[in-house]
Amino acid sequence: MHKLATILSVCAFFFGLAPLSAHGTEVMRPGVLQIGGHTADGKAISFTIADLERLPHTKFTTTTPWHTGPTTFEGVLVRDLLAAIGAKGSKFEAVCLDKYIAEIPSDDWTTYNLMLAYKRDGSYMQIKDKGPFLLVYPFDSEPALQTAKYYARSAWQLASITIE
Amino acid sequence: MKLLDRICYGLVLVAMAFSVAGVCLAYVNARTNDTLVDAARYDVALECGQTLEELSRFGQDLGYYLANPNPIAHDNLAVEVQIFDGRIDAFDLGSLKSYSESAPERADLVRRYRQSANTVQALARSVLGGTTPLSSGLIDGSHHLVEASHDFLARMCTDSQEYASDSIEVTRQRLQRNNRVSLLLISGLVVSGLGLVIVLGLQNYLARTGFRMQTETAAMYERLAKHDPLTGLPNRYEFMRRLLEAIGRVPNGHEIAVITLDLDRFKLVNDSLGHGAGDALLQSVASRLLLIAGAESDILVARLGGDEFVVLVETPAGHKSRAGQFAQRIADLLKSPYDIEGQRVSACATLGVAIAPEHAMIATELARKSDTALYCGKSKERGTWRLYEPAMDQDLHLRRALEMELSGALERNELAFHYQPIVELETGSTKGVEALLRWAHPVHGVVAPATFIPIAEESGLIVRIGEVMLHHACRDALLMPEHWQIAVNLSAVQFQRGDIVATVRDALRDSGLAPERLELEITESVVLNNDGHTLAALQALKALGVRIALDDFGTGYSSLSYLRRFGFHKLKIDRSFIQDIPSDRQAVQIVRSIASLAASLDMTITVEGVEAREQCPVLMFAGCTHAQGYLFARPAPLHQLLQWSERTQPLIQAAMAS
Repeated sequence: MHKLATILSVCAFFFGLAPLSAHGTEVMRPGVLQIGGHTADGKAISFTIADLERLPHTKFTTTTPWHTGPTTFEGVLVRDLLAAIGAKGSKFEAVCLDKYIAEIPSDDWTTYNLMLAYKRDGSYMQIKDKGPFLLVYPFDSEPALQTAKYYARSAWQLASITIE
Repeated sequence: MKLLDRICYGLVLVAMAFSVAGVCLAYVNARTNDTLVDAARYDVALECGQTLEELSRFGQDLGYYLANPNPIAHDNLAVEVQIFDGRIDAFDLGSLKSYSESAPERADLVRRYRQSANTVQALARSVLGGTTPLSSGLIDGSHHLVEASHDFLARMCTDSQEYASDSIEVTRQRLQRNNRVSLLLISGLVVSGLGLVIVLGLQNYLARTGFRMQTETAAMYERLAKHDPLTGLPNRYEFMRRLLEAIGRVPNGHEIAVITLDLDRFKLVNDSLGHGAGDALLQSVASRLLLIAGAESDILVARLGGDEFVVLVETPAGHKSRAGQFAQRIADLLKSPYDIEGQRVSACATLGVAIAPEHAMIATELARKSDTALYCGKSKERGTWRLYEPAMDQDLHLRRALEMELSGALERNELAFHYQPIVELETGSTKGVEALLRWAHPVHGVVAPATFIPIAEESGLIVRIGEVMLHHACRDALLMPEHWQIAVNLSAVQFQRGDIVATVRDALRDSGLAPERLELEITESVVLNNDGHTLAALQALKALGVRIALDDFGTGYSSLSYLRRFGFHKLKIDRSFIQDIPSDRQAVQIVRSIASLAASLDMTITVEGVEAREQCPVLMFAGCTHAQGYLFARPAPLHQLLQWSERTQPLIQAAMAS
């Protein structure tokens, strides 16, 4: 009786929040980046770190509000990535593992060296380290980027990119 | 100048203030920029809020898994645990670290949150790992743990708002302060700018004033350089410049006349009435000349210096020459008396005229020839104008030579003393002689007294010569018959320069001649001005016992007035009066009047220049007592004279008796 009541109350407790926990049925695959939307053939593409490492990569050093001191990031420039998959769009939506959503306009990857980073200071990033995929702007080299606007767009723990 | 210097320093200081202000402003702006940048930086409150929301979701997912363990939920939870790990660690890094370290209470709060969150993580890991069996109590437990962490996070959210608000306030105040400083600096700049403008304006004004003064001074000096300060007339240099210019127009058919003039006896006026009077006279002459020039642009009057003036007359092509006409007008106008310092002064001018292209085409030549003509005129006839003739150059040359020679003539004994007898008309007997100077130059020959006496007067040599002559005459007189008088001519110059009274006294004393035998002949020029000095000298001479005669009577301007001033013993009528006697009845009448005048004033009359026998009875009848002339005897040296006296005297006497 005590057990049943607990189960029922828990169910009721969580039932109320059921709509909010709809995501519990989805599978989170942290090591894979999904790219969808206006790809070359309209189909979604999945990238692992190994896949991304095959593309031309760069690195730059910058300070960020979430790291202490200048940090070197290594990865693929977003424009290179989009060019590699033949995707064209005016913006994309980045969704993160923690359900954070950011919208990045095309100016950001054409004007600035916006990078999809997978290595920080030479090593791959853990989830708790804001990895495995992190969108980072070269804040130090562009003073215009040092505003809340761009900090908000610098999404970490990327799960998917939808090009529009 | 000191003011300008100070202004300069002021400007420098202002400029420095400018620069300093500029630099300060730039710095302040940079700082303001930094502040704004800071203000736009990372938002801690947002991060806290997001973390709070994530914790909620994590708590949900944990509870869901505990309630409904399945493989998908298990995997997702595993990922979320890692995500949440990141959230906990975040407070050790970057801006969140600054936040947690900004106050001890915050650090404490963060530490307690972290402790609580780590407990949740530990529980989640153990559930995932299967080390903790699922139970209903676990759900409650996890819920409480999550709540506890939630609690801390919620407090941090609010607190981070305060943190954010504080830093905004700090930023705001900093901005305000920067703005105030900016305002101050801008005001400073504006004031400095205004100051600079004012100072520049002042400098500009001063420079312009200085420049204007400079220009005015320069103009004044130019005027001074070109004009004579006393009369305001153009000076020599300006005149020469204009002459040069005018001569350039001669090829076009213009005639240029240079009329040089100087005032006769100017020196006399200067010496007797003083330099003030002399200057006043020059100014009067200048204004009279300007009167003649009128407004005509063709006539230029200039002062060459001293008492010398020059008039440039330009006659355009096709017109008749006006040179002579002008020269005459000038001579006439300058003749009339002047009113100088309340006194009536007579002066007249002698003029020399030279004309281009006739006489010369070079400016200096033309001026020189005009001057030569003037010089010639002075020696021949004063008070008139004379046109240049080529012969004048020779005359001048000779004159200059004579001047030089005359000074040595005395030492070289080239000067000889001749005597001409003065005869009593009635009896024919010689009553005395007039001493005359003769000069025989070895090269130039005999030089006429009319030539060298003026030269001697001008150079002042006459004083020395006159002295020698007096001594000589007095000595020679001793060799003559006792009743003979000896007459010596005196020049006005001898009264002006040197002590004539002393000279005469010495001559009388040295010779031992009786004073009554000495007669001094003076012309009106001696008593020209009412000069106390001269009159006193004459009185002194009279007091010595010497006789004074007025020579060349009738030739001057106001001879009669001189008779009033001084009691002369004798009157000598100039030869010009008797030249036309006996033919000219008027001349006879004039002579008669003069003679009666003299007689009424107890003066004897000697008439000069008697050359014809016919003249004698007429003259005698007219009242002349004595006569002198070639008719009786030419001037001769002493021994010749004495011989003549012995031989011919009786003859003359006999002739006169008839």
